[in-house]
Amino acid sequence: MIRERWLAVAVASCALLAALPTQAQDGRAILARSFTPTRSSFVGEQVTEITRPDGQKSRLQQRVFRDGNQLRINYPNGQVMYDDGERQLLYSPRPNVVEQGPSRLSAERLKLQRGTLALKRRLTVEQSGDDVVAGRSAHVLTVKDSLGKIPSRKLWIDRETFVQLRVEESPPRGGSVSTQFVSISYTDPPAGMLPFVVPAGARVVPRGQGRPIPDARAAQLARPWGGPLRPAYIPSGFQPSGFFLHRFKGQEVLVAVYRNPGTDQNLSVFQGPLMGIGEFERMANRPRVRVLTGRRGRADVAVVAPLTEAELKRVMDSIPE
Amino acid sequence: MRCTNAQLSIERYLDQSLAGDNRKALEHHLEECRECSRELRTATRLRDSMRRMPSRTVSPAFDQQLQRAVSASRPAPAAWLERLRLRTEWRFRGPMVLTAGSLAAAVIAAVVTPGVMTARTEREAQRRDFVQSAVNRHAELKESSSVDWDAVDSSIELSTGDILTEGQLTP
Repeated sequence: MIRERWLAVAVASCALLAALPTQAQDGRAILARSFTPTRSSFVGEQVTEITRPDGQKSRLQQRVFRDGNQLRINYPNGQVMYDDGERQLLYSPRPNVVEQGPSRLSAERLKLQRGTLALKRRLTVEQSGDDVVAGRSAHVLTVKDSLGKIPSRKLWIDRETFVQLRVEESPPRGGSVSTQFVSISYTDPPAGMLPFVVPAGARVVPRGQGRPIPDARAAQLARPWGGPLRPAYIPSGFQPSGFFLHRFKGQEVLVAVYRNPGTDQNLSVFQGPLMGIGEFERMANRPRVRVLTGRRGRADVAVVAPLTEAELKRVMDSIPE
Repeated sequence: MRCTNAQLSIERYLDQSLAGDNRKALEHHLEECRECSRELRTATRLRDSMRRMPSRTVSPAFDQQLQRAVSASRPAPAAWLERLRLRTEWRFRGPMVLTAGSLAAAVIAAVVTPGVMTARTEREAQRRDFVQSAVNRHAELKESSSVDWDAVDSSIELSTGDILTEGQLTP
């Protein structure tokens, strides 16, 4: 009796061990197939749910149109993302700026993805069951990079078409971002919905100029003046929004941006190498905004905000030398 | 003789107006005291260099005035006259110094000041341009910082299937 039990346990263990690599291999195969799904034309509605490190949550909804290697996403704030397989454009209507960068649907990009998956054995792809997303049956995969260079994600992939239906990510700074289709129809987008023409008067800038830059890039940029300058005093209600890039006469300038969501106001701290702009502290009044220029250590600094002169001065004075 | 008295007598000694025991006492002190003999050498060199300076012609009226002043003076006229001569020479050199100073100032004004002013004007223009560019960028960033970039990136990744991005695409 005891011998039979041991035999059963041994057989079960062998079966389990044999199944594990197969499952991992299946996960890789499923992920690889999702790079070239059987249906590449669809119209859908996506929802993104963000949980901030401090627990705050936000929810956004966008419409997606894809036809082969053309993709358009319409965001509720009027932003449009358009990718035609050669270049990616991101249009922001209020500043009337178009960010232009390399396509993420190009053949090179696809090749890179396949190569990454095939060659980087540090990537583990595990299949962790099935689920239903937007009424579609989906494989659930977990992708992990032991070096952490590629963000770890959970993916839901359509069992029939291999279209990615949902992605869930936990950024290193905390919180989580989850985007999923709430509806998807594998049909060609309606005529006229896909093409995007750069609006007249829009400024075309390199990709990334309108969005925060990584902290490591900010640190690298600010190395000549001893690292990014952060005011010790920030008026009540303002929160750090990130570091942005600004170019002035060919010179790269770092901008630390603070945002007050309650009043929809911004406070920008421009900082760059000595250019002769901050030699003497000077206040300038512009419509709806004030600018205080000065020098802090090895950096020229300009603080821009719709604040009183005293508040602006207090912010400037709190920037360490 | 003490050093204080010796140094006070050096002027009269050079004027040849120090006589008798005082002169002998000073000479004796100068032989023994390095400090005072150095004072004597300095005073002698100063007088020599003064003498080598070009003399100025004064107006006849000034000359008469000076002669009257000399006649009415007290004893030790030679030392007094020497001091007055030195003073009047410097008084006449004063305008020369002023003129030279003015000329130097004019040269500085003509050559250096425009450079300083240009640099300052350029810096001021640079500052003005920067302020304007910062104001424009501030307005742009007001919109950019209100965008949920995590949501934008996440939706692009999902829609393109491009999820194995190593590093950042941003600059």
